[in-house]
Amino acid sequence: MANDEYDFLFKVVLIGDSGVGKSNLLSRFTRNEFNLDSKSTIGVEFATRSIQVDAKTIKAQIWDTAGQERYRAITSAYYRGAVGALLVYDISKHQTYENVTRWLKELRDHADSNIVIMLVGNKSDLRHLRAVPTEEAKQFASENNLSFIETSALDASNVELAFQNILTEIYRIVSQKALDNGDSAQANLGAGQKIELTNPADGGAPKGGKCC
Amino acid sequence: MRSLEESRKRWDVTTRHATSLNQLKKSVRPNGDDNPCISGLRSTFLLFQSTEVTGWSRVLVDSRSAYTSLREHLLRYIENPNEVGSVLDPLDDDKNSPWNTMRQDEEIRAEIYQDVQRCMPEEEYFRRPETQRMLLDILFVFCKINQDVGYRQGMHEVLAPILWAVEEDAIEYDSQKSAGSESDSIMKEILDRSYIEHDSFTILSLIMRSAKSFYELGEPDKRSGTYSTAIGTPQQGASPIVERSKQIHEVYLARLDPELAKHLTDIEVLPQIFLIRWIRLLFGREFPFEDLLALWDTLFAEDPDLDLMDMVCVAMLLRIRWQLIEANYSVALMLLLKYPAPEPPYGPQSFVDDAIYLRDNFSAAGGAKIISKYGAQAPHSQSSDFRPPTPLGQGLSPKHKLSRARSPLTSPASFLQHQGGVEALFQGAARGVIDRGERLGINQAVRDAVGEVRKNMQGLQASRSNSTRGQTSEGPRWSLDEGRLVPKQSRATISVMNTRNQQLARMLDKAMIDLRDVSLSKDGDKDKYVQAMDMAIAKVDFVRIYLEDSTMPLTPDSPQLGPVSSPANLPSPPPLNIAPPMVPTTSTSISAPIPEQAPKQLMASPKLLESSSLAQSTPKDPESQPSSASGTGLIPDAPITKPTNETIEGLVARPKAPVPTRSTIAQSSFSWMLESDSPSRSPAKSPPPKSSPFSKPGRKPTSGPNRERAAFLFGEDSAASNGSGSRPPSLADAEEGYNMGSIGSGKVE
Repeated sequence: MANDEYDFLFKVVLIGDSGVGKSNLLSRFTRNEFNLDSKSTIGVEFATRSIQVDAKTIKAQIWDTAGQERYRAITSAYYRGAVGALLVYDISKHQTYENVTRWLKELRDHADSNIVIMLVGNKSDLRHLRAVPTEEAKQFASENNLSFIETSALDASNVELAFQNILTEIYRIVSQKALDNGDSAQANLGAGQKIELTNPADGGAPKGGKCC
Repeated sequence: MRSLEESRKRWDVTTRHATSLNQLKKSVRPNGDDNPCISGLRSTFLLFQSTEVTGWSRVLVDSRSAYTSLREHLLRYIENPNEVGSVLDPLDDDKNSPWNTMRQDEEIRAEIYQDVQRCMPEEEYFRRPETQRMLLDILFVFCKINQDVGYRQGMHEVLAPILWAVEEDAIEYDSQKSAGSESDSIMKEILDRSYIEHDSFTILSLIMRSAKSFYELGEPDKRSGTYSTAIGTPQQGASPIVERSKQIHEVYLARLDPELAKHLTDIEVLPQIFLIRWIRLLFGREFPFEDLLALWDTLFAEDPDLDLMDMVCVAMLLRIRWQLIEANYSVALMLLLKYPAPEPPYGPQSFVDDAIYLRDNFSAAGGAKIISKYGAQAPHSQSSDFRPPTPLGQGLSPKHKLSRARSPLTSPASFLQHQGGVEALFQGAARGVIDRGERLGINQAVRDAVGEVRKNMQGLQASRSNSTRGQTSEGPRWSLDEGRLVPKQSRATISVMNTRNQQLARMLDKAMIDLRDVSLSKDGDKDKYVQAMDMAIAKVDFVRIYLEDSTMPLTPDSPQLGPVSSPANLPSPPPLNIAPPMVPTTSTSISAPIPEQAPKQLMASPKLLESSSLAQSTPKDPESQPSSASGTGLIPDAPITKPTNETIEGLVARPKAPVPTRSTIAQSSFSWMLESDSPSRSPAKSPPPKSSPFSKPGRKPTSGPNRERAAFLFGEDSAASNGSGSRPPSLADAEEGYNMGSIGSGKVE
């Protein structure tokens, strides 16, 4: 565990319809790999990568799940403790963009209310097949207080940036929170602390209670 | 596909083994040339229930024509879109319009196809358009006739190996030209390549009979935030897969390797996170394709109901046990989500062998054996109370367990683990009660009482750790309790406490079962309901009282508490297991015992003995035994007087020498918890024993299996009881209550 030193540990979840490229975004970011024939995700996948922000090491724990899952079997476990969410759609499939509102509702229902959400239009390499105009999605994102980016896991464009941005944003919020809360909270931000914005708000379950 | 020649050879291997199902089952186990799955025709074994080769084709004719007509019906418009168009308005809003159905179907098919395209990308066979078409059509038909579940991601990877195996076994020949011997013609019919799709569908349906529950969603969300105990019925909130995962972790693993189970809990690795994939895909992603087929061969041969899968999961956890125990959250998840390839010479198939062993040796010792088999090192805590493997049926005998529980604790570790187990049991029990209470919207009182129990449990914990703080005599390896170790000198005291705790836990468990029975009762009788509720509250309160004052003596819970393991001792089933017929209880007039009195009565054991023996023996009186009792199908023809006599003798003898037989359950300090059978069983002939404050008034007679369960649960740990709720009533099951096979997942057909 020698290389497991970090200042912050952020859990970020990937959500969005089946086939929009969540798993490839994950593998591109964590292993710099892309696989055109990747299998459908069953249940949950999980990978980590550390990045530097302001000379701090931030370890991102990124969770990926089956798009079809709509999470019911593992909803709470999946969202528990997540401080960021990449809501992914496929720019060449309008339906996946339409479903973004459903995913937002899912987040509202199950994730922490302070979770940082980034709308990600993936497969930007498929220019000739574009079905969702960038401006439209950008507009939607700003209306809903989401940050927005278009990526391509295939040609790697913006993938790094997307994760960098969301992790930095979380980091800013968390350090701001720590300042606001004074010393006591500062103490909680020591090395190796796992950050939770607030208590997980999954269905009103008591904290620590197992649930799903 | 194979040539005719090759198929003939394989056909011979297959039929040679197909002498009896047992023979077949055995032959699948070892790897090698003689394995009919490897050298024969794997697919045949999945298709047929019998080994009578001549009957095979008849079975196939049926299943094939069934699929043909299903397919024709369901794919009619998909394959011939023009048929719809002419008659109807495509913009018709009618939900049942064929246009609408077709649009929905196309959506479903698009969803399925998305997975089919990504199915087994490394195998060329699955890239072929014809393969993908078959996968799509089979899954589509399956999903249309199983609309309760529909198509769920993962089903495609259950189907894929099936299709592959059927395709591999098919014969490449021209059916027109060849004629042959009769066996040849049967073979050709069965291995006809034009029915690959049909037969794959049939096999998928057979497997999904058990595997479907892995994909069911349960009730969405509403109760998702609440904890339901592993014992809980699956319809409450959480999906069956989550329930099953919990059970694997909190019951099976907790028993086979308590230390690992606790570690996973401590690092907050929720079992469903990795088990959802292991189980849904039947381990399809965890092992290479060829290995997977071998694993499936043995798994299907051993247990078509797939209950054994739970043990396979445990075996997989035990194989990487030493890595897991050192792992933190991230490392553990990595290990579990990218399961390391098992080291040769033990292929993935060996997990099934382990699973069978674990099922038959369901104890920490059994777990330790498996761990040491691969890890060269057994968990320390268990090594000292090693015992020889016990054969099936005894491995889980309550006697065995009780003697284990009472065996001298050999190390602080084993004690602490026990302690952890008890605590977990308490918490689980308490939560279960609370959940149920909330659901019923009643009884703040129960919750208060349970809260009290929890508080006191914490008190117990605290006092235990206080007494042990600061003394370190051994390495911190097993310091499960935040680094505190148990000093040797206080071990005896703690051991007593521990036993006591377990007793109390069992009492609480019983109360929980009552609560559940009450809550599940469809009976609208409010009085009965309230009374039963009161009774349950009283029981919980009872435990509270004992927890409050740890000096209050609790009648030792000796072997007679649990049912006996050896059928030889007691050939007939004990009367306690006999279910009352479902007669409406008429004797609801007896008031519930006053809770405050109960403990006192319990302590006055002679009195208790009297009362309980009265309560228990009344229904057993041959005279008063109503003939209707046999109508439950639970009562064998064997005379029930024999156990009765034994019981009475046992009761008399008890103060001197407790006889460890099941029937003496009645004399235990818990006998008050056993319902009196008499009021419900024979309302006409034998008056309810009004004299006994221990009889359970107004309680709705439970049905056969529940009844059995209640008696079995009694003095039992949760492992034996979990999931047994939905078992069909059968006397034979009574003994099997302790064997893994029947514990299963509690799924309902």
